[in-house]
Amino acid sequence: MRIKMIIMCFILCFITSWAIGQEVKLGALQDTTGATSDVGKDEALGVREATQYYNDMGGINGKKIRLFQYDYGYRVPEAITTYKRFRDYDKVAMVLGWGTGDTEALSPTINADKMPYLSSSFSGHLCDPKKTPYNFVYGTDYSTNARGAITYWFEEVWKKDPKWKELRDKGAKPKFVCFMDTSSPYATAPIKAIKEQATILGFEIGPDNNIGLTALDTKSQVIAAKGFGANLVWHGNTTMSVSAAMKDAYALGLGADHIVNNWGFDENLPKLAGPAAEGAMGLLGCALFIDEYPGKKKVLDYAKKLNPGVPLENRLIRTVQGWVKVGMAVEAMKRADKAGKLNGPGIKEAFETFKDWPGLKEFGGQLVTLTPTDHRYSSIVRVARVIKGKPQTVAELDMRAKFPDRWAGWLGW
Amino acid sequence: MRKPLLMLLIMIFGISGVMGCAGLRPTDDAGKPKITLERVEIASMFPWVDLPARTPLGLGFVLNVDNPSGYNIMLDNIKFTVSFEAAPGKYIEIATPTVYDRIYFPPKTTSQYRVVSIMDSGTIRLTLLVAQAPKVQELKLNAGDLIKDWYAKVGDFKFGIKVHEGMAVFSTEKGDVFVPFEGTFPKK
Repeated sequence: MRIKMIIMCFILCFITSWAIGQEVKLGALQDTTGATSDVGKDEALGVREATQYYNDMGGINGKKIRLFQYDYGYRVPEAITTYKRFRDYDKVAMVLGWGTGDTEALSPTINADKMPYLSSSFSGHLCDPKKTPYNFVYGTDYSTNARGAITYWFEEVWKKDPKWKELRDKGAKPKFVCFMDTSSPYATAPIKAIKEQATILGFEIGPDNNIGLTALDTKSQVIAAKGFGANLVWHGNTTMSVSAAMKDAYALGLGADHIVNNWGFDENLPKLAGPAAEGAMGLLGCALFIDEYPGKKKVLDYAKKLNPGVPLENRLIRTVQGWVKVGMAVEAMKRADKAGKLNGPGIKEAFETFKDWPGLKEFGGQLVTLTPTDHRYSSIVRVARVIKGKPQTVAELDMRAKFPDRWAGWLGW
Repeated sequence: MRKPLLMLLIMIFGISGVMGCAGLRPTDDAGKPKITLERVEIASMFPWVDLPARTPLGLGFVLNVDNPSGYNIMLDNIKFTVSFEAAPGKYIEIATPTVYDRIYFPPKTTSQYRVVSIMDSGTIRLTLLVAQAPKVQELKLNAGDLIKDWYAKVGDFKFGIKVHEGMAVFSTEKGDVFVPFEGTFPKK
């Protein structure tokens, strides 16, 4: 009897130590020094802090997440070689990716490898499982967002704002131009969609203006837009470059309104652009760091715990986006693990079971529904506006409900 | 019959103890590890080529890892931000090296641990033009001139190199221990 008891104790000890030793490896590509580091560094901090939080809460059903987080400086070749290390040596369960260029460049490889890939690129090209079955995004895709932003501006500003009354009364069409880095896959990803939406709404579309992601002087582009008589500008770059363009537009009296893609619109925009950013509209994927949201305490606690040297006043919405990204990955891995399939195909299938999943609401995210035929994270577009120097949410548009006949046809571009 | 079984159990217990714990114990405050910057070294250097060409620069950061506890501790990962002095007392962030190699530090020892970070003038330029652009503009500096000046002076460490936002995570059987650190070289 005593021997049996001892055997049971030893077996329990052994199982416990084996379970403690189990890990789930997670690779993360980050840009903390490259062309999108103005938003990338803060997101990387959020990813690291969120991973620690989920580990402290028990990881993936008791398995610790071991995060490998590397700066690839927004260089596609370095992203590709780092991915190979994740796959061949670190043996990660899934990858948290970053830019559109590298995510799209890696897409054929990760899909052949059956490697789930949750990216900070919300390119619409990554949302059609027929073409990219292992790619996932953790925000409303750029194309849906861009369509939503221009629709909101048309309905709520062009049709109602006294600023445009004279032109409205004359029966003028709103004139629209795009400012973006024409060599950047991120900046160009939603251009086809927003131009189609502009056409649907009856805009006159002017020539594109190429503004680099590192641009400090955009006067010639602003003068060109002024020459066209633009009433609305779409900014497709990240915050630094967008702020430079807004300052020049303000100084040169362009007079147009601004709508900005998700990665160009955050707490830093009014700080960098000052009064030039007042009234600008942009797209938010989740709560701003400074907002009130249910998960704020844990976000703050882990920011202080892991990165006490980074002042909280410098933190951005990007930190919260890091939490959204990790939260979504953790949920999929937990579901896959519970099903006994903590591997590529199992995690993909787990993502595709998300139906109105509310887990991201605590960070100001949307209900998430993913299916084997549609990887668009949500049809909800959250539009914000800089009011008294602070971005504030002004509307949420459900693009599927608003354009039910077109929604299916917008998948994948 | 009972004796071999007992021996087998003792062996299993021993092996699982070694595999599962590896001599790690929780570090209380008195025994918490400490990290300090010992020095910065040039790991590799190349002749300057004007931008936009990239000139590589390898820096080695030698860190002292002090383990005052009576137990082995395992470093799980370490990251820190590197900043260069752009004007007297004004630093600009250049890179954030991160290392995930696991390494054990014996009890009651101070060991040296080197992190080598490879940078290049092109990447530094991008950082100065994007994430650090507000600071560069505030100091009224030209990014290209500043980088060239750093490359000319770095061999003699004629400007300060700061390590900050440092965080080392040590694993123990009771959970992770977080050790923040910072330092500047040359020490003034």
